[in-house]
Parts: sequence; C-alpha cells; structure tokens
Amino acid sequence: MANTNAYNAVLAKARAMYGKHITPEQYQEMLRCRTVQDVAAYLKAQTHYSETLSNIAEHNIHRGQLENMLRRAAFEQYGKLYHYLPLTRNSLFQVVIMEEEIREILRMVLLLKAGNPQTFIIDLPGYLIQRSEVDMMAVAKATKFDELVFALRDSGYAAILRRFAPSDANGRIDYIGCEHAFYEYFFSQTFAMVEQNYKGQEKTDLLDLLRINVELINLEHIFRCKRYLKASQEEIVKSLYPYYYKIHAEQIREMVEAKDAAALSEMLAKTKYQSRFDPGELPNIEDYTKRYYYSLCRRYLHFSTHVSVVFYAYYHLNRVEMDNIFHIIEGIRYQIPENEIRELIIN
Amino acid sequence: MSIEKMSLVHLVGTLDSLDAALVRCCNSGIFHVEQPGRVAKGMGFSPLREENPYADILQLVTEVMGSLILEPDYHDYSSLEMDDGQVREYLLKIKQELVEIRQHKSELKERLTDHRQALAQVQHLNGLNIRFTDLVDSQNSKARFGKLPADSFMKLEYFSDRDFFFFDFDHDDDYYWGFYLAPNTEIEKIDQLFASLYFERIDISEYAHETPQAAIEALQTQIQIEEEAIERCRSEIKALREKNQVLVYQIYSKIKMLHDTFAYRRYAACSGKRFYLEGFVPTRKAKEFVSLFDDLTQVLCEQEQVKREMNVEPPVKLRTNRFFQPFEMFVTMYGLPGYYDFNPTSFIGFIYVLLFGIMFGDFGQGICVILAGILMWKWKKMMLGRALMRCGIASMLFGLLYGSCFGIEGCFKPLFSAIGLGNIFPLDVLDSNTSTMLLILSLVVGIIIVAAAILINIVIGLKKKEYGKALFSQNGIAGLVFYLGVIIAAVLMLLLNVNLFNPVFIIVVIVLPLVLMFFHEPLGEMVKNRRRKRAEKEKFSVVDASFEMFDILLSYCTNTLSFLRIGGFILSHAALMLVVMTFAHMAGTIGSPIVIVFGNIFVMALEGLIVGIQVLRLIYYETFSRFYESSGKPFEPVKINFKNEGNS
Repeated sequence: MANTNAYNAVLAKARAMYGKHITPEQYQEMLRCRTVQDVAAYLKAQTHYSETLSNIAEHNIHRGQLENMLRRAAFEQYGKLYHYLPLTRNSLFQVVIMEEEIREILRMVLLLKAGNPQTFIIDLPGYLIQRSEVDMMAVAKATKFDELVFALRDSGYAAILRRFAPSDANGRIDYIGCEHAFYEYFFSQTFAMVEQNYKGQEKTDLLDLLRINVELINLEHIFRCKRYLKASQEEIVKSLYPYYYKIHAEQIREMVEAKDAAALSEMLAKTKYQSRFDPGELPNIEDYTKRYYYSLCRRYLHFSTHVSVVFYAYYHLNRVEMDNIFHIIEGIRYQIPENEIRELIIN
Repeated sequence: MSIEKMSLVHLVGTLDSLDAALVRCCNSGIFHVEQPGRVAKGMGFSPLREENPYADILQLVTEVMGSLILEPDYHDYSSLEMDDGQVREYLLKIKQELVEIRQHKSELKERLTDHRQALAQVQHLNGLNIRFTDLVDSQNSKARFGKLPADSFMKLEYFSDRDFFFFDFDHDDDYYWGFYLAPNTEIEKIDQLFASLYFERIDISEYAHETPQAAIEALQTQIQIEEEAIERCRSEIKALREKNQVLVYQIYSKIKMLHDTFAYRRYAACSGKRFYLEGFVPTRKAKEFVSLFDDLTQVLCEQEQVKREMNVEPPVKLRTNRFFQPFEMFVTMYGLPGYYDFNPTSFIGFIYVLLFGIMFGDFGQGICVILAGILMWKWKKMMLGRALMRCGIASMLFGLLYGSCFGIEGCFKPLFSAIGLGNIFPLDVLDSNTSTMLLILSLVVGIIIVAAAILINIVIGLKKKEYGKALFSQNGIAGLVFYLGVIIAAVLMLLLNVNLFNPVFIIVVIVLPLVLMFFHEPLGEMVKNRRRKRAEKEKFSVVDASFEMFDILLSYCTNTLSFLRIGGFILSHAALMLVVMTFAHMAGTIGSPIVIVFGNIFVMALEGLIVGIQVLRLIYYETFSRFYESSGKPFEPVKINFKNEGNS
C-alpha cells in the first residue's frame, strides 16, 4: 500500500513537472529574442526555470554558463523524482548518469583528438563530478589517450576505450568507432538492467521505449549514410546497433541495400512506423524520428501507471526540451533565421 | 417567467450617416447587432471592409494613460475643443516628457542595482580588518572581487598548479562570493581563466579604498541618493498626471467612442453609397428605438416582430420576476435556453429556495444567511448575495417549523401553543416517527418536482411540435403516465391495501407506455408525418433501445431516491447542532458561549456550502436533464466599454 502510494506520488509529480514545461507559444516567444541574454531573461521571467535562474544577472550571462545551469536544473529534476523512487526502482537513475558519463568521455576523446583536452574542464557539469562513480576530475586531467584509459581503469569504459587506442603518439583515434562501441555498451547495460529488475507490463513498456529508441537511431544512421555520406553497405552495417523490434532484421538488411534515400523512404513507409511517416515530406529523418519518439514518450508519461516508465519518458521529454532551448540559444548566437531554428524545435 | 420577445430591426441609410446611426445604437443600450443576413444579400449589399482610422490615436492615448497610471474610464468630453491634429500633438508632447522621465529613472535604477550588488559584495568582507588599497593595489599582486558559479568552484582543484588564491567568504546553492589574488605578472592569464569559469566581477574600486566599513558607508550613501532621485522621478510623473488627467480622460473618451463605433461598421453591409444594418431589440422597446432615428433623415429604421417562419435566430434575454431574478445565474451557468423555449428561472428559483429552506432550517442561522447575502450584494455586488437573501428567508421559515434557533431545539413552542398548533409544531426532527415522516415527505417533494419537470417538457415539446419528445419519450406523456401510475398504484397497495395491478391497468399504464418509450424515435417521426429516410431508419437499433429502456427505468428510481437527501440533511443539521450543544454543555459557563458561536459558524459554513451545492445538483441532474436544452445565444447590446482600452 505504502509502495503504491509512493508510485502514485511519482506519477503525479512527473506529470505535474512536465505540465510546467515550455509550451509552443513560449518557444515562439523565445525565438523572437535578439540575444542570448534576452533568452536568459525570458527563461528567468516566464518559465519553470525561474527558480534555477533566480540568482543570475541575465544581462551579462555567458551562453556556456546558462547551458550549464539549465543542464544542472534538468539533472536536479531527475533527482527530485529519484528521491521518491523505491530503492529497487532507482537503477534507471544510474542509466541517466551512465549516459551523461559516456557523453562527457566521448567529448574528452574528441578534445584529445583535436589536441585540446585542457578545455574539457570548462564545460564539465559540476553535478557529474559529485554524482558519478567515475573520477571525472581525473578524466579532466588526462592529456593523453593512455591517461584517459588510466583514469577510467575502475569502470567498464576502460576496456572499450583500450580497443581504440592509437597505435603510436601520432596515430589517429577512431572516434566514430569509439562512439558506436560506447553506445553499444550503454544499450546492452540498459537492456540487461531492465531484464533483471523489472517484470510484467512495466518491463514490456520500458523495453518498448528502449527498443524503439534504438531502432529509430538505427534508421537515422542508415538514412544519413545513404543521403549524405554515400557509405558502403559494410560501413552502414557496422554503424548499426544489433537490436530489432518493429522492423525486423530482414527489413533492415533491405534498407541497407537500398539504392538511394528515396528508395529507403519508400521502404520505411511500408514498416510499422508508416502511420506517422510521409515519404513525400521528409526534409531529414531526424525530424520524423525525434517527433515520433517525443509523442511516444508523452503518451507513456500521461497514460502509464508504472513509475519507471513514467520516469524514463519524463527523462527523455526533458532532454528534448534542453535540446530545444540549446538550439534556440545557438541559433540566436549565430544569427540563424527564425524559421530555420523553428524547424529544429520538437514539441 | 418568460423569454423577452424580440423584434428584428433594419436600418438603411446613406453611408455618411452610418457613424451617427451607430452612435445612437450604442447609446440606446438595447440594440443587439447581427451579421448582415439574407435580406442584405438579396438587396445586393456586401460586407463593409475598412481599416479603423482611430486605431493609432487610441493606441497613443492608452499608452499615455498607462504611463500616467490612469485607469481607463469615461469622462464627459462635450467641452473638448481640439481637432485631430491638436490632439495628436498634445499626446505626443506628454509622451515625450514621460519617455525622458522614464529613461532617467531606468538609468538610476540600473545604477542602483549595481551599487546594491557592490554593497552586498562588500558586506561579505565586513569582518575583514584590512584596507582595500592594500589588497587591491598591492605592488606585487592584484585582487578581483566577484562571484563564482558553484559548478566552477568545484573545478578550482583542477587549476591547483596555477598561481592564484581564491578566498570565498560566503556562498549559496548557485554562487561562491569572494575574491582571487594573483601576482601582477600572471594576472592577465588568471583573469582569462576565471572568465572561462564564468566568474562575475563586481567593481568596487570606486568606493573601496579604506576599510570595508568605510566602503559600506560610501555605498549606502550613494544608494540613498539614487533612491531619492527615483522618488523624484515618481513625483514628476505624478505632477504630470495631475496636470493633464482631465484633458487626457476627455480625449480618451472621445477617441474610444469614435474608435469603437467605427469598429461596429464591420457589421454593416454596403451597396454604392448606402448601408444596411440589422439587429434585434426587445419588442416592448422597439418603437422607442425606432423613434431614435426620427431626426436622422438619411436613415430609415424599421422593425418587425420575430416569427418562427422568418428562420432567424434571435438572441435570448431572460425575463424573470424580481424575486427569482438572482437565480438567473444558475440558468446561464448551465447555458441559455433557446429563444422559443421556456425560461425556467422562476421554477428553479422556487425549488432552490424551498429545498434550501427545508435542508437548512434554522431561524437564527437563516438570519445570518440573509445578513451574509446583504453584505455580499452591497460590498461585492455578487448576485449570489441576492440569492442567499431569499434562501435565508426560507431557512428562517422552516427553522420556525422545526423550532430551531442557532441549534437550540424546541424554541417557539409558546408561539405555536398560542395559535393552537402546539401539538404539531415545532417538529422534533430527531424523533424517530418525525424523521421517518420527513424522509417520506422528501420523496413526495422529489416525485412532484420530477413530475413537474416532465410536464414542462411535454408543454415545450407540444409548443415546438416535437411530438416524439412530448408524447412518447421518457419525459413525455408516456413517461409521466408510467411514472405516476406505478407510484400511485404502489402507494395505494401499501397504505390502503388497494391492488390496482389488474390486467387492464398493467397494459394501459405500464406496458403501453413502455412500448411507446421503446419506439419513441420512429413514432415521433411518424406523427410528424415525415417519411423517414433510409439512412435514418437504419439508426434505430433494438439493442440500443433495450439498453436505453434499462437506463430509463433505473433513472426513474435513482432520480426519485436522490431526493431522500433532503430529509437526510434535515437530520444531519439537527445532529450536528446537537453535537455543538453537547460540547457547549461540557465547556462550562465561560466556554459554552464560545463553543456555541464557533459551532454555529462552523455548521453554517460547512452545511451552507454543502446544501447550496446539493440543491443545485438536484436541479441540474433531476430536473434540467428532463426538459432543458441550452441552445440560446445571449442578448448582448452594442455598447462602448470605456473601462476596456481594447476593441469592444
């Protein structure tokens, strides 16, 4: 009974928190801002970030600082929900941390590749320094690939990274391969965690959310390879994650073998994603996949009665909101036309 | 107890007299304008599309009023002798003055914010017994004051090999306040490093020379000077307001009148140099309205009484007698009735007052309800206050019958004895025989109300020639015969042992009405003598009708039993007051009056609210659902809303 009440409290809290999220009208208002400082002032005055940004001097805030504060606010929101989760259900929070760790490690790999690792510390989120089991300060101090592997020696990431060690001091790092390996590890860990900790409808719903996510990422990879990179079939297959759900392996193979992006669009229109997919109106695949996944998460957030499912859906929706805000900030900073920024907004 | 009869008014005239005609329509307060209908189209009129020429000047005057902090309102402008150009020039002059004052004020506010921040910064250093000059202008090092984000503070460890010291003297969740010291040779690099960590410098050099205490005093003086300057700006605005407000109000009233009147031109249709306008006015004031245009020779105004065949949809204005008028809000809350329907306000007003009185019967508390109603009406102009006054009277009357005054039962006995009714009144509601009788009476009241609602539905149905609804539906004659027939037969059998359930009665009063109700839709169509289309025929489903019949039979029972709550609330009121009195008895001589007062307040607040809601619920669910269709559109005469600066 107590647990049921706790679950209900989390469901209600997650929905209430989502209810305060930025509305399409508010995005529209933000798009009209002229400077990053205007966006900061708007977020502070008109949105649910007002408490987070209450202490900032919006007229001279730096973009990086604003983004860091928003990311910290988002992380704290997951934390708020996490505190209500019964102990057996908090493993999903570890997934959130794992994803953040991987993103930071990959950022470090990129900086090492670019020969600029000392700037890593600037954008490293403080909350991750505190919450991660990986010593993020040691990661920040790494100046060479080997030092990075050493900093990660107590985690599962070291073994992955070691596979991509450059042959010598001047050797290049295979970043794409590294990124793929890290996310493959992330997905396998997440699926294993769900299989181990959940059962019944809760497990089915969580797997539905995770599998569709992976499948949509695979579709994005195939499309990108076909449309922009003109990659070989072998390269495409290497970039995919070996999970199949609504599109079975045979269909994926056919898509990989498709002669161009147009043929691929027609194939996609024949899959189970067809209902929301119009091959005639497809400027880029992300536009479709991200909106599809966003609406799926929103449905789970509103209608699921399982706390973990709602938590995961909320996590994704919150990330989309972060991305939307960052797109607007970047767009305004680089003076991109309003309508082009608007196309990137998912809501 | 009806719906105001409406007349359709047609206005035709030359286009240059349209504004004058519209001003008269607005001033009349009884003209409900309509979009030009088929009459206009038939005469070759087309809608008038123009841009409002007063929009700019209205925006200017409202802007000026906003800056002067003047609430929009009407002022007589007959003495205003300025032409359009002069008005614009005058408003622009005031606007310019206001902009200058505001700009100065905004600069002052900005400086004030900076100085307050600096003060907060220096206050953190108050305990530091050191001269700023020694710290900031040292020969070998430099100090920078400011705040560092909490995230960045964590990262300082990363830069432990660099030549700087950061001293924090205060922090919250977001920032660490402090200063860093670095050698002169390294200061540029360290400045860059801290800038990349989003360190926000606060410049205190202007004031920070001696000790922190001296700097605090200097800043406080500066803040005081700036606050006084801001106050002076406010006074200047106030003086400007006092000097100009009469003229600004006059200009606003004139411009608003011209603007809103012009806005109504969109309802007019035009053909060449002629305009056509149509709308509705209450029939009893139609002649008076037409006479308003007698002196406008360029405008012809005609009116005709609305008839059903005209195929127009007149607006609805409820016409209710004064006593039940406050209950109109309950009707409008549900939705207005159609123009050809029945105004149920008096009916529901009567039921509301009666049921409220029965359920909340207490003489003393009734007086309090009346007083609360008077206060709500006089102070807040709340229509609910007027409704409460009527309910309070009913509470007093029933309180008299129950012999209850502020929970003290058995009052007024001498009064009833004096008039020879001492054996019956006051009723002892907690007596088992009386309470059974009250519950039975509740049911009787319920049956009468349900039957009355069905009767109203029959009358409306016959009036609108909807025979299916009036004759065969559950709320038609068939339903009424079945409902009352079964109840009367059951009562006779239980009380007088007279069994009416013989084959003839069963067939005529039970089976026949049930069959009619089952087929009420097709039967209604037949009576209307209209050949049903094939598609409509297919809509009738035996399964649907069967389920509907089950629902109908169930709803007769539940709707009637629902009225048992009337008796229930009489008993609960008496029981609650009994509890209050018991507590008062236990509280002793000093505590007793306090318990009685607070107990009465508690019961009045709790029960008053619950009874009010329950009565409304009974009306909406058990009666309105039987006859009411909220299909009317409200009567909204054109007028100029001077209190609203936007478009009307």
